[in-house]
Amino acid sequence: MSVLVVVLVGVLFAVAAYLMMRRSIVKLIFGLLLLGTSANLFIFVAARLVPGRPPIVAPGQSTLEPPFADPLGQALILTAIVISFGVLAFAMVLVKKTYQAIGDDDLDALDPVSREEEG
Amino acid sequence: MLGPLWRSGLPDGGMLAVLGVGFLLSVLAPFVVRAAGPKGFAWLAAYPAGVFAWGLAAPSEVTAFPWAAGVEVALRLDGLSRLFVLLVSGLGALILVYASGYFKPRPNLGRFAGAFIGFMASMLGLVLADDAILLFVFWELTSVTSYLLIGFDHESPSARASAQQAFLVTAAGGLAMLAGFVVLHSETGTFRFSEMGFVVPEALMGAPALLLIVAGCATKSAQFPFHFWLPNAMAAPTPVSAFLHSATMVKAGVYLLARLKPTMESVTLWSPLLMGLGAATALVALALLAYHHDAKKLLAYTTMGALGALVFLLGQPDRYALQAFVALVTAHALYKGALFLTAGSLDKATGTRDVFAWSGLGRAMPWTAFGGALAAGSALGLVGTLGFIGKEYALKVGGAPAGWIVTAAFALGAGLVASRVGILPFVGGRREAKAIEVPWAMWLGPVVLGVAGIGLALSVGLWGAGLFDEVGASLRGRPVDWTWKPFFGFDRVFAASLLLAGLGFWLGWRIRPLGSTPPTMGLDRSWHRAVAALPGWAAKATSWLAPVGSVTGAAAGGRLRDGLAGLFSVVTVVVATGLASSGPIRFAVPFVWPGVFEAMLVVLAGATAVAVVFAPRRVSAICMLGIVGTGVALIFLTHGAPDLALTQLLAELLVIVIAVLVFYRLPKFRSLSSGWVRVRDATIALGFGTVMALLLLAVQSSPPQADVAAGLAARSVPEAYGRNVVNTILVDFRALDTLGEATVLVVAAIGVLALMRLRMEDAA
Repeated sequence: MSVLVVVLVGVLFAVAAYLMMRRSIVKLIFGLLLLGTSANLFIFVAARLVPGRPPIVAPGQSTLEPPFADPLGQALILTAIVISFGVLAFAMVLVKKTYQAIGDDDLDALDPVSREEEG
Repeated sequence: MLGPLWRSGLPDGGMLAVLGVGFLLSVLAPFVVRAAGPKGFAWLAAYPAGVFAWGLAAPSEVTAFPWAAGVEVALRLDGLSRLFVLLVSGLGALILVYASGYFKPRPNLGRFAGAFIGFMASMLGLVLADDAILLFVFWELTSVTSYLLIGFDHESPSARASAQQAFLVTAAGGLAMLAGFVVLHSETGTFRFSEMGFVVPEALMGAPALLLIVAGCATKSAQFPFHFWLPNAMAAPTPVSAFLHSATMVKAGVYLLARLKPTMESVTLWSPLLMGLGAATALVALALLAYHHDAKKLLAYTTMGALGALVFLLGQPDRYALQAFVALVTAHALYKGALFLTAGSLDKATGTRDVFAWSGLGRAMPWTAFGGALAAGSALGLVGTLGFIGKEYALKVGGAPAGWIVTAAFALGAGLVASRVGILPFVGGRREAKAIEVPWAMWLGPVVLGVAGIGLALSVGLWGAGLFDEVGASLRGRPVDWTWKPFFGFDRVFAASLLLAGLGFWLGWRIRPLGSTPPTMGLDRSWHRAVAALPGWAAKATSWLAPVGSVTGAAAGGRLRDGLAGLFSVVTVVVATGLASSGPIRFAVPFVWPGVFEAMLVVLAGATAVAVVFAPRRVSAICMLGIVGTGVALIFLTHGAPDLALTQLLAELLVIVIAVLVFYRLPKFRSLSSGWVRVRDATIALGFGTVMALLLLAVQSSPPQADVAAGLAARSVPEAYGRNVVNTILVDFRALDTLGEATVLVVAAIGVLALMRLRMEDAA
């Protein structure tokens, strides 16, 4: 399983990078979303995949019996998901406002250099 | 030790109640003022009036409650804090009454009232705090509320700029001060002022701590060269100028220096630093005075001069210097508050703040004239006023002529402006025929303050030994027995005092401003230039990414995607080099055939992700992204991370909803890039993805580091009382990180809200 997930992480990173290098602002945002997901999955896999053993102490016990899924990696990812959600929400609203202002979703339309070239 | 100075053991939550009620009221105040109009301010004055009564009656004490992360809510009422509590609450009450007459009904007045009461509570907290960190919190709260109050007239660009300037200068100083507290802690081992003892002169960190703390005090108390924000802060409505920027907030720095005097005066740098700073401030203030005819600016510069003189006095070990300090802090708050209010009333009555335009108003405005003249008498330092007592002691300080010069500079400036604002507008020929007396709410303050300045001086023998000696005990760190009397006999000092008063009045009467454009000493201008240059610097810093992008063969020009292409390439190369140089990678991951369900999950997520690239429409792309996110959530779920799965699903769902709402109206995807650019980007992206996957494989092949996780798992139940270890990490072991996370979310939410409400002008 873990090798397959590793391949998935690679694919997600590649797609994220490709989307981020597009001229469309919307694709840039989509790439950003995927980049966050890939990074989270990367950390998750790096902390080892332990199927079916969540880090929750059973009633009556005082500590976890190994093997258990790494709680530290999960805590990091949980924070990362929430923060990337906040950043994305802001970015999406910003894109909408930018589109309203310049009437284009082409990043180059924002660029003062190419604007001068155009006109 | 300071222990026996107060009667402890009284179960009294008085200080907590004072602060609690204050902050609660700052939330309620907007509703009061919205319901009652400007009259509401007079109702709100009940709070500071009550605090004033409490401050007169409450016993000196220290109370402490544990708070978070080793910081205590430690509050202390002693002589010094009592004096400031009385000044803040007494002036606060009178100025709130004044505000009820000053303001016309206008929008946002409720918000103003909330910030004003919030400031008052923060200021009371600042002087009552016995814990340095707690003091810092209140200190920054006064900066924040001051920002809101200076920028109250938020449609004026200059008010906004002034508010921002005052905030940035004082908040930056506050941060330096916080660092100073930490350094001081390394010497004294405590954040409690009452337990600090004193820093030994040979202490290594004494001077750095002092410099950092003085930086904070100097920005807050407008010491040269950080004074430039204070005159600009006069953009605030007059009640704010009178309260914050003459009597209370600007004294916070002076207060902290006085508070730390017993602890830090043993540091060798103390005297030279404070005396130098104070002297420079007093002299610069006097020089800048000569260029202005706006009443509030003039008053601001005399405030600066007084603050300089106070810091100068604190730098001296002399007993008379301390007596002068105590008397002048009190006298200055009373007369400067009164003069500001008088200036505000004259502004209302005549429509101008030009001191040279006011003349002959005494008949029309008898009460204002009465209050203004009494306050001016105290500022001039005439016999029988508190100002006289302060000046007398300042001149009695033995030794260097520097003291005489600083006292003279301060006294001349104070006298000059006091005459101009408190006396001369009411005499001479009348120019403004329409001016009439302001409502009682507006002359009450100056009259009460003016009378207090004289009544307190004449009766100082009765109460000085009580209140002022208690303040002296705070400054000295041990009980004092000082003599307080209103008059000291006809000696050389008296002659000098009289001469200064006469000269000050004469200057105010005769001198005209030197020019209309004052030399700002370049500081204000440099500040604005630096602020204006910031976006340029940011753009330059970003454009440094462009050369990285141009390595990949793209045309330079600072485009985001070129920078990203460069970034991804660099990461790919660096990671690949790292992997290659660490020897042959042993992919020691045991290959287990995945279950059908898991394999389907991974293939589905991967294939959908690739399909996003080729999606023709945004809605289909968004749906595909949703599938990828859900797939990842399912991987979390099947691998022991139910919390992650839940959060991921929720976040994914919200992102998709927002994405559909936001992107619905945008045009169809177009093919914007040329073919070979796409090939280039695909190559970079594939290389990046491959290297990341290889890195992950290499990580998996190395032995696991399970001890941190095991330690957290072992501590979860006994220490954090939680069975979900992820949860205990988030809300207990790493709770501050989670606080940071929540802060990011709030900031993002504010940003989204601000953007949504922004009406875009058509940029094209």
